[in-house]
Amino acid sequence: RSYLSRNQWAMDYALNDYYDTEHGTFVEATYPPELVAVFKLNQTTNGPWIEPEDFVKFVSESLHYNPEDAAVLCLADLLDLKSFENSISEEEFLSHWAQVNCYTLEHMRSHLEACKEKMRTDISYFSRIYNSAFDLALDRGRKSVSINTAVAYWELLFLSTAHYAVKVDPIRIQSWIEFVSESAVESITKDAWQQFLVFIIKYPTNELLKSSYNPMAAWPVLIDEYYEHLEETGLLD
Amino acid sequence: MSDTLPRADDLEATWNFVEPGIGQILGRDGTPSSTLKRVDKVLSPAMYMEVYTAIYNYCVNKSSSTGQFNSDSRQNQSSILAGSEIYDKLKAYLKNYICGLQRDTDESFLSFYVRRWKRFTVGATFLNHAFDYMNRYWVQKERSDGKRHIFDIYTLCLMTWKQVMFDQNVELLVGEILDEIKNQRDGKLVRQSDTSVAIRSFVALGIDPQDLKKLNLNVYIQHFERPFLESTKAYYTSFSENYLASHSVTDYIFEAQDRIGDEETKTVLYLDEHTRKPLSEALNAVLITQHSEALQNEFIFLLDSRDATKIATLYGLMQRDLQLLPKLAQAYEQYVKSSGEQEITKLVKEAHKVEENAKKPGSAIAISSTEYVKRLIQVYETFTKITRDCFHNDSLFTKALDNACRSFINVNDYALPPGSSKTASSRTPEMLAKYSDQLLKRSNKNAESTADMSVDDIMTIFKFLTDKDAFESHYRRLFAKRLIHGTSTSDDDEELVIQRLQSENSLEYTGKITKMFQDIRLSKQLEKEFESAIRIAPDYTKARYPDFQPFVLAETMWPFSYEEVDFKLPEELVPTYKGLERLYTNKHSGRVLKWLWPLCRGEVKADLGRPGKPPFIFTVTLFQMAILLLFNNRSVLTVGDIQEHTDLSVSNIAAAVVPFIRYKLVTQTPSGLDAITHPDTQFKISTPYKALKTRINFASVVKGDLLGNNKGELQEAQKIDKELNTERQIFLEACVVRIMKARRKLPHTTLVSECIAQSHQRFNAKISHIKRAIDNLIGKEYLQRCDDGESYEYLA
Repeated sequence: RSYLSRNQWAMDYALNDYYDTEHGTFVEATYPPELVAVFKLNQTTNGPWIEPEDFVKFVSESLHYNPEDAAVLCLADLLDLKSFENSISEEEFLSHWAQVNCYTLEHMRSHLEACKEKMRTDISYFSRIYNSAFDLALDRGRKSVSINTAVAYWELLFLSTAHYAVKVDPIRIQSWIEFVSESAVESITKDAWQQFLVFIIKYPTNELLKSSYNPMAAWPVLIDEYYEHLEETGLLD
Repeated sequence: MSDTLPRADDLEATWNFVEPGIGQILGRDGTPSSTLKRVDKVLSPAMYMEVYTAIYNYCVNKSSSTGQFNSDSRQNQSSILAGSEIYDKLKAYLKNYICGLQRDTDESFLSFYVRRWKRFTVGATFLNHAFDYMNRYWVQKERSDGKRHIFDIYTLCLMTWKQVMFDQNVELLVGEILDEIKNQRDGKLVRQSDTSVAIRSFVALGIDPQDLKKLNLNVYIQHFERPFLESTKAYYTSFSENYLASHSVTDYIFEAQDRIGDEETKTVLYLDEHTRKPLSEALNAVLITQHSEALQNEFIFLLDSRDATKIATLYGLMQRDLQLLPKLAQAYEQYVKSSGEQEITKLVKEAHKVEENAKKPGSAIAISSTEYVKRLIQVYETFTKITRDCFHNDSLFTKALDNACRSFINVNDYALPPGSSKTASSRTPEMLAKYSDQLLKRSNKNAESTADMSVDDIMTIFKFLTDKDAFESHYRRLFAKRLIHGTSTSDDDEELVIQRLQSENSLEYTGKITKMFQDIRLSKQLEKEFESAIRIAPDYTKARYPDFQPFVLAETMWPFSYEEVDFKLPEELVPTYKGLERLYTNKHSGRVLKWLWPLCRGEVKADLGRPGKPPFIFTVTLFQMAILLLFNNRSVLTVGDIQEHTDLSVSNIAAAVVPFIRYKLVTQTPSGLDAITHPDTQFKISTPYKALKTRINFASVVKGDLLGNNKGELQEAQKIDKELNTERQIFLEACVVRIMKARRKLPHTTLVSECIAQSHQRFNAKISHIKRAIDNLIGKEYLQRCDDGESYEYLA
């Protein structure tokens, strides 16, 4: 408000002014000491960054999360982590936490809880987490995720007791997992991963699937085959 | 003469003067029907002249009395009045005259009408001439002043006639005309002229008060055409129903054709041109469209009977209603398709029967490719003929035929046996390839059977194949065998087929085949070069370098895959082998020669007969040759010996030796198939060897795998299938990349349909295959799915 009045209520100027002053101070400003302390506690012995092993330690020992908790996915999303095999730099760690005003471990934990809550209500947030999970799970240099890893994530995201925003019949997920595990496919491509979410959002029920699924449409072959499998085994009735 | 004329300004006098003349011209009532000739007699030229002059005088007088200088029409009041008075008088007279016309007691209204009409129109023509002066000046002026109710005298006559005679009696008249027409349709003799004249009067009476010159058919259409069409419809509706109730549909087809023909040639004669079209339409509707279902059902029976004239007639009928044709064409397509399928089913059943008679149940049904292709051709030709003769190659029917042929040629009980999986491919390409092999292979026993085979047949079926690439693959395989074994009838024949295939499909399609052909030619050249090279070699002897025919083949073009085989070349052939390899590598440096030992064949002269007899000539495979050559040194060999000298695997030895045993060239101890693979088994060459022929072919009996005879062939078929599928997948991926590279961004459906369009010349691309290709390309990051999930983007 003060920026607005200072710039005679001209929105553009006010915003510019805001970023010039605030952001400038933001970058130069030192982070709250408690946040820096959290980082120092978790950084690797080699220097000011967090390596994958330290990240797991940070999750389990400092934040007291099971490494297989969905909160880890939220955390990776928050820290803008592209893969679990990447390290996190000090700047990344501090700036991302400071952005959400979390300075202590308690803050962080409650923020992550809030994120998990958001996954329950916000479909687009859930979709973001779902899609980013693929990259996180990807082994370096690979383009697809092994069936086992993919299944683990599907179980985490669709079969947990948390009931996230995208609600699917657990039977659908079960049959999908069964189908994928038994098929000759060795790994899940990014396209198949992403399209699967689209698929289950579009066809939440058997009736819808039966009446309007079109194998001629742009679905990946894997999903076509899954549909065929459902048809053949009579699971659609 | 002028003194006898009435005074020009005296209306009454003038009228009284001309009236008898007019009466004469029109023909007095009560006088028997007059002809033109009579008019001439009754009306003397003098009288006619007088009437004309009187009217002329009358009109001229009036106009001059007001002064010639003011000939301006508007001020010329008296002239107008004078003209109009005599005009009115005439009008009243005409009305009176027509009213007075009486018909004879025994006369039908129609003939009365016609008689009077004829006389009246003749009279009216003359009257028109008599009043010519008035027509030319007064009437024209009036009309140009906008007085549209004034007409020239002839028209006035007609108008009056219409008003008095026609309008009063039109229903009666039309009724009688229609009765006449009905009588004619029923085949009774009628006087057509009356009807014709009457109908023409309808046309003549159609006068447009606004523009006299314009032909106006409103009277004709309103009073005659409509009821006529209705009665026509009614007549033929009941006619066709009655007819169908008592006759067959086939008879009806001809009857309807005759009827329509009659109507269109005869009835139309006395109708106005205008009715031609609506009449045809009415006939079509009643005679054809209403019975289209019955006709269509009949169509199938007619096709069954293959009766060309009937089918043609039916087509002629159906063609009249364009909307019926597509349905008919559809029925035709269905029919051709099922008859093609039935024909093959019959063939399969026959084969089954033969099989049962031979008491060999369980084995796969075998149908000779010749028989199979012949049947297909037969069906095709039957229906091509029908399409040409009966449907005049109507595009709809040609298309239907094409579709049907494509369907039954690719899918029938034999090509895709019921219950086979969705991904199975048709066997027709394979059969056709075998058929061409039969045709092109030189063989004594085929001399007669190939007599009725032809390249045209191949091309006919080829045109309809959906999986053309499968045909190419099978064809190439058999072609390769013909080339290598030199069993082609002639190079020209081979070339002819290749050219036909090329012009039917594409240069690319026959690329590999052509290359194979070239390889053979180059190989022949090489053979000659080699021969001349070794002749000048210092160590040349006939024994050291036996006749040798090398084939150097481009690896990817030929359907032979190179396999590493353990084999030691017999010493006798080593110089040749080295010599060729040297020559070839000198000529083309950098090319690698791989020797396909299992495919090599040779001829061996064997002096095994009783002394004095000419030596035998054995055609053998290279492996057999190597084994036989060993017998030069000893007469008994064990499997172990053979292995030691040739490095051949046991199964290869077994395959090579079995024909020898079968033809008793070699005796095996202990005997039995199982023992062959045992290293201690002995083979003894028979001397003297007794055989009826001096030429024996051992090579052709060699099977790849003798323990499972059929399995080998099956495996080969599977291998071909697999190769084909990979090839298609690659082709489709290339297709997608090509399309996307050009278009950058495309929706899924467009991409798929473009892929299908691009590949249909080679095979029918299945959507699932295209989708797999797309999936793969996304995986390889050539493509990327757009945010909408239903289109793709090309990534450079």
